[in-house]
Amino acid sequence: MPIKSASLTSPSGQRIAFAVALVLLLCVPLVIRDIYWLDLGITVLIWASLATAWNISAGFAGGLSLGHAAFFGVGAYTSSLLFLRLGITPWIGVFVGALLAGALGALLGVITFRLKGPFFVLATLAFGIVVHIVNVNWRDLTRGAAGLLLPFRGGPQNMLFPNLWAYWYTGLGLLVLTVGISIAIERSRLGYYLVALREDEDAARSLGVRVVRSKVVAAALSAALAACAGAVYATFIQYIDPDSTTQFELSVQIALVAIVGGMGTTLGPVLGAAIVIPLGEILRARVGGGPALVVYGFLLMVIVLAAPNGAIAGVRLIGRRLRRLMDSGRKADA
Amino acid sequence: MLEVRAVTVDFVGLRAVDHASFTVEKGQIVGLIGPNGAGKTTLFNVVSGLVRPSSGSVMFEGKDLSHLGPADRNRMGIGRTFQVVKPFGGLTVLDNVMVGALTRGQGPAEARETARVTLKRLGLERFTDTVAHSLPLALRKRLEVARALATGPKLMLLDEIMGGLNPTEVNETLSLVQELNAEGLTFLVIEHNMNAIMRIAEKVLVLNQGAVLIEGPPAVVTRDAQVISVYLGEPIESA
Repeated sequence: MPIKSASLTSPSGQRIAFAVALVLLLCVPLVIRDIYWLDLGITVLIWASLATAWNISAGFAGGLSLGHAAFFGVGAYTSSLLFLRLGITPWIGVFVGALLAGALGALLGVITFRLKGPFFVLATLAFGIVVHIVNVNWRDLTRGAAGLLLPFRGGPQNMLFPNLWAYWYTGLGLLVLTVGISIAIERSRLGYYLVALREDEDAARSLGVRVVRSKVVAAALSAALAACAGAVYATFIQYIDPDSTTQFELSVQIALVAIVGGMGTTLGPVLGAAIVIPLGEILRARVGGGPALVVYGFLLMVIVLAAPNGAIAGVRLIGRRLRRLMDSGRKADA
Repeated sequence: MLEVRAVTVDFVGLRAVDHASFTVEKGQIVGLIGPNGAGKTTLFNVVSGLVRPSSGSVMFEGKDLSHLGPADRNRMGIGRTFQVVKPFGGLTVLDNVMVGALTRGQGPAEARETARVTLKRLGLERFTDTVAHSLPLALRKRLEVARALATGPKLMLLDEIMGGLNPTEVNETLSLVQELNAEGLTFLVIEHNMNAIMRIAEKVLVLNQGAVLIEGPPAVVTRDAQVISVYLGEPIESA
């Protein structure tokens, strides 16, 4: 009989792994003093949250969205505008943005739930582009291409911090929120329904799964969480414009991060952000400009080819091999 | 319990079901037979709500189902299997069955228990944690039944669940159907295995070119000259 140890896949093992990861993440600002790396780390946290949000509708429910920048943008603009125009703190604005994006996500869900495969992708892509065009042209509200500058006013009560570590903890809070909700969904009735619908819609419906309700709820939650990431991003960068929030390239990047990490899994998008974001940033800093993009694109292709089910699948495989190695080692000892 | 009234289904240039009418009474096991392309599966799709009929209606326990989708019909008590099996391939066998139990309103923990009990009943408990797409076909067919049973149906539509089974497995399946029937579950069964269906069905419907050709007790149906000519081509000896 092999000795039963708390493996990473057992519920108790998972809880321990999460706790350890959280403690490590909490310690990061104490260890990393370099502003450049901490800044990059915060960006990774925001992207990890954004990709996790995307994964709720795309990974679990199988609707590959290329319009999620729209929700990110709605979150960023709602909280920033509420702060600039009405003096409402982003701590409240983030939830208003989430509600607004959630409603928009639900609306998009109602329109697109019938669409399959490429048709769904095109619909979300068009939706994202429409939001971007509105953003650029509705100058009275958004100031268009000029963007919005968040003045440093009031400090922590307005989610504006004089030091990076506070942003790190805000970003970490955001990640815990999105991953927490993602895990809760995965284990809930809704999670089962979404995956069932993704695997075979007719079979799921014949078993009593209501398509519209499940998909719309997933779309709304996904959009709301993406908006939360947008609001945090806005207070972190303190300047937003259409190019940095609602642009099509951003939607692609969100999908890319989740796919590289492993869509449909809880931790895949987080891992994807930890790989893709530093990779892009380091290449930009070291290689620079056009050549960086070429290398970036090439490396992404290599990753996707090497781990077609996402990096998380590769990590799990290595984990299993290590465990087997340890088990056989233990047997040899005995 | 189930009443199909003059259902017609027109696909582009093809009448798949042609004014089909029949009833299934509570507690019955009714067989639905007919040659390939007779419209049996289309009729199932109409009853379960996946296909809207061009005309006609389906009543279940006295209620008109016309405006209800498959999910609502399942929740009213109609369970079905698919001839071309549709497992949730990437999920484990247990998770597949859990989906059925969850739509009854059970929470995840309770649904997991229902799923385990159902798997045990169908002799699938060894495959609880197997990923569904790696099951052999015969077992995937059984998974279809397990999943539908977990939804707690009153009427079960079985679409050729015995195809490809060996005689022992056919016998096991027949006893299971009879057992469930004794517990009050009503069945409408599409089956190509004539011998099997004749053993359990109280009534048999013969569908030909979309229309109900004849209905009656198995013994009467198999002796009907029309049935013999259009469906079987030659007399049946084993019935």
